[in-house]
Amino acid sequence: MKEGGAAALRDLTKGLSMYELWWVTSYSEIQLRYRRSVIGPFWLTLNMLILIGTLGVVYSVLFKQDLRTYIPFLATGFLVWGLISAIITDSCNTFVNSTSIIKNTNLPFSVFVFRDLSKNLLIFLHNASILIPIYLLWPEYLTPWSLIAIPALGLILANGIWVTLLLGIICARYRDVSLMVSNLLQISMFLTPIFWPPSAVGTRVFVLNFNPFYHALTIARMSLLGQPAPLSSWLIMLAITVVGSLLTFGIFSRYRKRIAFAL
Amino acid sequence: MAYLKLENVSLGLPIFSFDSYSLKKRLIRIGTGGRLQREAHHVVVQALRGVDLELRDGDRLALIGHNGAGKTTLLRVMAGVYAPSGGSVEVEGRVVPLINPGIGISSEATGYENITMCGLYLGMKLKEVRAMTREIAEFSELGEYLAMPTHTYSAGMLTRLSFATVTAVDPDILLLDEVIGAGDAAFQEKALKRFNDLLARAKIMVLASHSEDWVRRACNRAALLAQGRLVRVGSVDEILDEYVRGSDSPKE
Repeated sequence: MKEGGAAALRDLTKGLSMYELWWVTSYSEIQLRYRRSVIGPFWLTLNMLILIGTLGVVYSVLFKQDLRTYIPFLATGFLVWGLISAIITDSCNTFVNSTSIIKNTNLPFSVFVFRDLSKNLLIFLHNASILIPIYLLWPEYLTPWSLIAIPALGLILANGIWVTLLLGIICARYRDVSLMVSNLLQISMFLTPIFWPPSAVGTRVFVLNFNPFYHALTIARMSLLGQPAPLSSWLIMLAITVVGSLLTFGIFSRYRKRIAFAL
Repeated sequence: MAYLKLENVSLGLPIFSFDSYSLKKRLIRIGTGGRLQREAHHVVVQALRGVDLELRDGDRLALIGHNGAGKTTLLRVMAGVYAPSGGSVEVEGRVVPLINPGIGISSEATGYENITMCGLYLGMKLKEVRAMTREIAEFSELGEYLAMPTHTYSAGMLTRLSFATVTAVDPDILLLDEVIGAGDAAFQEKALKRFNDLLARAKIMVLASHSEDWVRRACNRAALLAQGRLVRVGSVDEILDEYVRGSDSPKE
């Protein structure tokens, strides 16, 4: 087991050091996706803007909030949820999609993890341009607290590492798990305050604390809205990061050698 | 100083059935003690048994055997793709596995971009690839096509691009599964020279091949594999004779 742990650690450090490979691969993949299209990566952004505009107007009436409060709330939530759900969805195919490479080279497994994460980060950064019109319309959302968005996103990405690695391994072995994961994500999207403000739950706001996505969204969304997020959410996120990473490290150490056999 | 040692290496390859890939079915099996589902154990194939091999600088080993004898599996164990279930593998030096060249080719990307991608996947650093790009480009003779996406290429052009890139590596240990195809006849001759240069650069080379011609040309030692067992290691002539004589599969 110790030997597995040392090998797992080596895999992670070597994978990190091969940043040229995974950065160029993910950057190219996005570039290539839009090579033959007109607006390019901003298609997704335009799509998001239209959706937010439409939903924003309708739901602000439903939840009795004014546009100035609701639209930025929806936009930032949507943006961050987009990142989180993409990370989770893609992680199910991290290794499966690279079967041919894995079975013919001795690249560290973490290379594929970092590749998928950096790809989703790049897409997120593109989509973040929807915030520009929001900050222009309502500049009060830009405060010194906004800088905390960077560590908040960093923490989300750090969680992305263990989630991608864990799900990548599980889904390589059990191919029906990816369906279960996408079902869970779908449900989570409605159970998490993205379209609806936390206050809509009324007195039972406390229940939200059991939803890890709620905390991830809170720390990122509130910083993007220029406000400090509650310390409890930060602490819970840190705890999730630590526990998740340890769990995944254990599983990776134990099963790393067998991943190639399942592909 | 390159070094490759396999000590008593065995490998049991699990073959998963369609059912054993399903988590739901597995949970049902566990939950109902096998009554609702037929047991879907996965089969384990003994792909390699007790392989002992030691290679040093200058060794050019041919792996000879019938299909299914374990040649590609052995290469994969040497490459570090498969971890052995028994025994140990000791490796020193940069291993370049060319078991399936053509990894990383993306049809939307241009020839140049593909050279960079392939080079990176083969373990080169960005600086290294960039420095070699011109030479690779010139060798491939693809000219202006290199700036165009590879989905516009013919199969022969793709082979040339792949060949040019893959033969630019600088390996300590080179693992080849069959000789890399080099395309059309006109290309063959200079491809031959380039291939030989690659072989010369490698300190250790292992070639799994059915081509007697290539084995005699490129290798100085040979190993006979049958049903996962390393039957004999010897000179190229010895092993080829034994293989041809057909006395290489002790019926079990």
